[in-house]
Amino acid sequence: MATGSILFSPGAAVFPDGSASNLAPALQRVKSSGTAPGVYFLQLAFDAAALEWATWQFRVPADYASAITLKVVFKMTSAVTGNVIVVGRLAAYTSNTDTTDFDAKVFAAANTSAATAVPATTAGKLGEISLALSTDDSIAAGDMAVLYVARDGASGSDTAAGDMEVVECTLTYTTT
Amino acid sequence: MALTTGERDQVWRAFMRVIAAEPCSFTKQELRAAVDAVDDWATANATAYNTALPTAFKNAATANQKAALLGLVCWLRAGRPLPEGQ
Repeated sequence: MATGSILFSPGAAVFPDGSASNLAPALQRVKSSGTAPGVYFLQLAFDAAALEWATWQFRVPADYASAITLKVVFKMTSAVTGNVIVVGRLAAYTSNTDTTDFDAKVFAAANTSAATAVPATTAGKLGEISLALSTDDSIAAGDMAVLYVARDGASGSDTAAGDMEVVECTLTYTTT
Repeated sequence: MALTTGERDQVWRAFMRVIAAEPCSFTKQELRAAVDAVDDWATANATAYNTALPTAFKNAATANQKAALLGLVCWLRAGRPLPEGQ
């Protein structure tokens, strides 16, 4: 048994269509202010006043066993105080076994993080939120799956001002 | 005229989008309360502001023009560029 990881780049995200309850973060290419050659990277900017979400589709690795956990690496545009709320969901489908229409697939119930303090003192400092996806849609090795990641900016417990900038998401799991 | 609740929400959201260059050591809720306070202050002090204006401008300008002038002066005092970049 070991810990496996599945990496999700902002550049590979699939975005909702912007209709009601389908708000998407902005995909931004960032150039660092450091001396050239500055570091360029992608980030997803999640709004402070609405629930915005993005998804990634992936095949569940063959060595997946259990304990799937979402890790979100983020920074804040300007906030150095307050909390953010992250929501993670999964939708899993076992090909050649499940009989429902994948075009009508829905996510399992939400896994919601505790109100997590943003990195203090310096806006732009990276922090990480770890969220166990205990409601996992019975995900299994070999499944076609979709990961949903949101910031619940509409929550009264999400108090940090300004955008939350997600630079990377990872799913970790216990291997067989 | 005082802003509606929806308009105050617009100011709140715009602040978080536009004024993003400096660290914010206050929460969203504290910012929203400040929006209310500023708009209330503007209402309470509208007469004093109007009185402070030169007579010719005061008598000729519309209420919207006077509010825009105050906004532009405050905007530049906050170190923000004006629309024409000057």
